[in-house]
Amino acid sequence: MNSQKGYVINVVFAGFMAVVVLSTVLFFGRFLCLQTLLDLMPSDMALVRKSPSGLLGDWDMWPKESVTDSNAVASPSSIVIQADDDIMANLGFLEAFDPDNRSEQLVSPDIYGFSEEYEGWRHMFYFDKALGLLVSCDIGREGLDDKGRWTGKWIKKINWYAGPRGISQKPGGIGRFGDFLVFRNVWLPYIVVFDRDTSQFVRIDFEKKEVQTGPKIEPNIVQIGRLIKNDRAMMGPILTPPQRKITKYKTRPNGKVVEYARYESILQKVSFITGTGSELVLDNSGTIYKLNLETLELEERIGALPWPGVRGSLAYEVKPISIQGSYAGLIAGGIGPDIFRPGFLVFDEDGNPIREERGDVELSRFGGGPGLWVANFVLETLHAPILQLAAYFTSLMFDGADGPRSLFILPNSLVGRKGAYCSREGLVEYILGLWVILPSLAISVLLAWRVEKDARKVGISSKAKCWWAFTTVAFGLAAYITYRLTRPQLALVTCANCGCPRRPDMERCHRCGSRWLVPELIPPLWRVIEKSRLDETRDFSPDQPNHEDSEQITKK
Amino acid sequence: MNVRILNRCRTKYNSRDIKMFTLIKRELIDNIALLLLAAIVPAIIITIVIKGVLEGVAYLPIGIPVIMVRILWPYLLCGAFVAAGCGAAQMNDDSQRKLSTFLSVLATTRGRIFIARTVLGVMLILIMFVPLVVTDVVLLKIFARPVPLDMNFLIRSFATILATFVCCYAIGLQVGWRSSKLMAILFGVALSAALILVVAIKGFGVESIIILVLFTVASLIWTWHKFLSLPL
Repeated sequence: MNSQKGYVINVVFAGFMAVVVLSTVLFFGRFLCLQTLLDLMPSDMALVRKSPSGLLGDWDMWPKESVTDSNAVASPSSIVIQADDDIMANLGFLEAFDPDNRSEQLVSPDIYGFSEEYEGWRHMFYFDKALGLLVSCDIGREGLDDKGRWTGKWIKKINWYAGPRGISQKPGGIGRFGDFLVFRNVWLPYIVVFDRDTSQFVRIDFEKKEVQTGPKIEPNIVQIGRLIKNDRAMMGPILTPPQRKITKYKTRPNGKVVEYARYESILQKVSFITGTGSELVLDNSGTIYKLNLETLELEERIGALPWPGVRGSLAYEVKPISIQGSYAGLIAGGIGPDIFRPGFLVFDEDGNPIREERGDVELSRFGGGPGLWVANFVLETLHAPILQLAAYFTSLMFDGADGPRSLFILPNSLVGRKGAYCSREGLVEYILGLWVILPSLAISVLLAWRVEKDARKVGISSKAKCWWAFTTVAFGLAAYITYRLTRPQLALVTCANCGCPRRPDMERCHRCGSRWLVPELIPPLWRVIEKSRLDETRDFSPDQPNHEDSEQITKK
Repeated sequence: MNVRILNRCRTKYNSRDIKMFTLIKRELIDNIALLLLAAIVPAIIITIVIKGVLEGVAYLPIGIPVIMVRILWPYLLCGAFVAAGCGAAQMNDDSQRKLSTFLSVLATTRGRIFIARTVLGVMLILIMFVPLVVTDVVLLKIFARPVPLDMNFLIRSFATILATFVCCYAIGLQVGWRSSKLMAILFGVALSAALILVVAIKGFGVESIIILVLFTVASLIWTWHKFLSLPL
């Protein structure tokens, strides 16, 4: 076998394994730092709050305005949003480990709703991928035993098939849906589908057996109805309606009168719907529109996500607000790529922004904060500089929800966030912003120097040394670990010419270049001298051998 | 090692190469205890799955039965550690009992010895993997779902689990060539834990599978080179 080729293969594969294992270890180091940071953070810093909400108009300060009762204490409405303090919720393993939180996986992403059980039967809508059609069916059991339990087999009765061209009891002749989104509200007798292939909304009414198609629309719609992403990562936004505290009195059986407080709110007047005949839709850029469910046309823009684009947020949720049935505005809450920055925007009924609030963590305000932040940064710095460079330039291409799961390219790291920020500032800032990689680069250069020093000692060829230096600068600690794992494990012998350790498997000494046999007539370049005489012979250096002499000796 | 088989090999294939099947047979007989251990894991898991599915028969049969999803992580953990331990034990036995040294004096090559060992490892993984997949498929056929299932989730999960088993076995082989059997197994299990964490971060899906497959290839090639060039 070609040993050189074998060595290269070993190095490449050992390098890959080192990158994977190191990245995993660093990931959990950073994970621990962030989790501890969230645990230590004071609760008031972790949440973002705004009061009054500005959405409820006169009702915002309800007790003050409308109550003459002297017992009333004003507590205006407020909006709260908070990042979930358990960042483990963002990891992929929960998908299967905690299936209760991922019910859509258990049921099926193709089931769009089923009714409550009635006499052993349930009504259900689902999408049949093979047919490309929506199916309305009833599922139940036939047969009862003596105790009234259903014992028969589960059976399915298909009522209707629905396609873009109509409804039928048979699957043929009504077209096929390709890529689409479904909106289903249990209170409405129809389903609304957005057909991405034709950019049209389609309303399917199974009761009237009607399919209505709307006009073509421009925006690239990504969600209809409940606008939500990765809701496990945050709590809120929560709108708390104004409350008043009323002091009341009651008499105990022993005749003693005691005082107690009761809270009243206008919660029953506030609902989280858009109002009748319309629904929220979200496009790819993060703009929120109102969809008219009758005409299937997009009405005006009524809001936007707090961070640009659907992919830019780690999590978001949009809550429409109605007061006594009429639309009053919406709250768009979310968390940006940085887990420590929850925030929200509030829009009035015309889509004008009326409130904006974003969290800001002051690390110096709590013990351990700066230390943990530095520890996290150091762990990020130990990542390969080349991967950090990739994170700097590509962080905007990643989905916000992918950030906490990233192993190799870290869009959520300081470098990634700096890259995303500088890319909006202009080309000069974008290039100057690269200074954030300098600490990582400095560590890599230091490691490269160590590798080069050791490689010289071991006797690695100058070409291989160059490659090692270059690779260590690019891959940092991972390359250094790879070098330590794959460096030649040889017992060096003393060179007869220069006296320094040399590799026994090479024809020439890697230091002085002499062959194994040195003619006895020529005195060696090295001497054994006493320590006291070292100063007198300082000009004699065995580390700088006379190569010309060596060559002449060989020729002779 | 079964010396009788080898003596028979020596006489039977005196002038010819030892056939690959004979090498695999030898590996099989030497590691029969490992194979039995590998069979226990799916046996336990299958019992739990069947019990869970039978208990859930009375409920509306939509979606994947919960037990089939809940069991995935315990199954992955048990199987991965068994696979890593088996790989490490297999390689360590070779190192301790000088099996390859002895086999090398016969008409065979180290490459073929390594391939025979890997074939046994694949068999071991299949013993752990196939019965559960077959059980799930049979159960889903018997208790058929009236609404189409999200089979993509199960396929992704099982593909990730298979990739993890193979990867952990490869790691076991890689770290097994050590003087202490206990250290070899512990080192294999520790490295496997790092890989299981990759699945924990990424979840059951394509990203995990790609990383695990690349890691397996890298580990096997490294071990192959080491095994072929190691002084016996």
